[in-house]
Amino acid sequence: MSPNEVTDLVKATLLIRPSVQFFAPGGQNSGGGRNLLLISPTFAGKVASEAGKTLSFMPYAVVKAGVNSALSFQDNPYMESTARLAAVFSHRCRNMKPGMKVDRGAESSDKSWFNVARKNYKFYGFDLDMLIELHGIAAENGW
Amino acid sequence: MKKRFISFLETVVTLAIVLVLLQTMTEDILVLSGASWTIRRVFLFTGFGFDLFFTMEFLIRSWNALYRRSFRQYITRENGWVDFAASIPLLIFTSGPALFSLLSGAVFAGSGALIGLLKVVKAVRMARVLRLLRLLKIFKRIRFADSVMVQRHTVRIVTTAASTLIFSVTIIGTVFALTDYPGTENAWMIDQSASIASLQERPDWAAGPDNAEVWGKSRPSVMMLKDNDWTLYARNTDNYFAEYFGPGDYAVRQAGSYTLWFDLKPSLVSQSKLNLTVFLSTMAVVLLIMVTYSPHFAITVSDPVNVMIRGLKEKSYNLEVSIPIEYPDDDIFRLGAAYNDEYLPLKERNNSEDAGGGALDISLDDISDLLET
Repeated sequence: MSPNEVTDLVKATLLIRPSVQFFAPGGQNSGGGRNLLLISPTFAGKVASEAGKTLSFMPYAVVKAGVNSALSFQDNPYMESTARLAAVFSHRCRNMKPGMKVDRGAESSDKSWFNVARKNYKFYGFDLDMLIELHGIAAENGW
Repeated sequence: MKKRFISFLETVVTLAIVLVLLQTMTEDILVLSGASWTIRRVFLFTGFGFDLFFTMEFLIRSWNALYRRSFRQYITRENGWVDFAASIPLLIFTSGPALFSLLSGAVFAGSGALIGLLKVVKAVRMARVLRLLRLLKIFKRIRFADSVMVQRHTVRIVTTAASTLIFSVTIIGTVFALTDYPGTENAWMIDQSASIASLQERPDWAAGPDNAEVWGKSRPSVMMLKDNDWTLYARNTDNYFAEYFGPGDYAVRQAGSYTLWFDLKPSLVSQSKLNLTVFLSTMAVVLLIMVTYSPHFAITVSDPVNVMIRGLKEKSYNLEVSIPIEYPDDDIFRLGAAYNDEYLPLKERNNSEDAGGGALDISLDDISDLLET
């Protein structure tokens, strides 16, 4: 796959990821809390199945990866790499402030976020190795 | 209106400080370059004017501080001691006597001990170095750092270093001036004393213009020799003396019926060299501290603190403190490491829970441009 195709695949996975919300008990107004941060494999399987039917124009593997991105990597070590990447990027996007001025004496935005995410990888169910790699890339590029 | 007037006065004082520093340096350069007395005389007047101005400034500030019952604070914390040291002693010991000497046409004359007099003159001139203290006042007014803490610490260090240098030079220089140590300048003074002694013991050595010419040329410190009003020897023409010598540049001494004019310029040149050395050294110290220490303090103290303050105050601020590999054991960076490793992860988790459903907290607005490639 070309880099552009990989990029589009990750973007599509990110787009599908919120679909979990629509199948959650109570829908979008289910309230906050840690319970909705990660979902169980059984629930993910059901959501993927229903979403696959609704999004029949998309490959099922992409839909499944999007839904699985809400799983914990620690409990599901065989989840798709696009799902793992989508989970990380989704959280990153929540805290991202484009054009943010980095103060003197502070680390760059991405480097800081990936390092903090490394400390919280169990809490969010991230793939630690992937975070280490992303942190290294951010550090090398000054992001 | 009152504030604007005070601000205007402060600007005038700052301008005067810049001008007096330039004046002091130029005055010394003129002495070194052997400029004519006409030019140097202008600087003598301006020097007196500046010292009078700063004395008035000190007195007004002191009066104001006394009126506010904060004189002690003014002297200790608001650099009142600099205002004092760089004004009244200079007016009394340096520019005041120089102006008086100029207006009265007085020269160093008499029949007392020449070397003792020259030593006192030299010691008094050392006080001119105190003018450099005004540099500290102007430095304090320059806003050179974003952080108030950096500014305050750097000003404190500059004040300590520069004032120590200036006071040390003044005190040690005065002690050296009043004591006997062999050197070029002392040899010059000894030559003058020896000239007087030789004529007192053997007046016939300068009897007549021919003898006086031979004797005078063997005494480099002697400018002119007169027997009563008869000029026996003159190193230069009268016009030259009028052009390049003013009161304070020479001393007149009696030796029997002879009157001797001694050149004091080597002492002035020596003093100007020292003044310039101290002035430039002080400037170098101040600039080096500003250029090297101020950014170093910012990087290793105030910047990490500011990052942590923002992280503690602002909910969405999650940048880590950058820890230089050279100073990981500094207290501030140990604190920064704890902030990075403990506080930020906890804050992130807390924010995530407050926001509700981290993984699902994306609206369509956030991803509207996701598929645009």
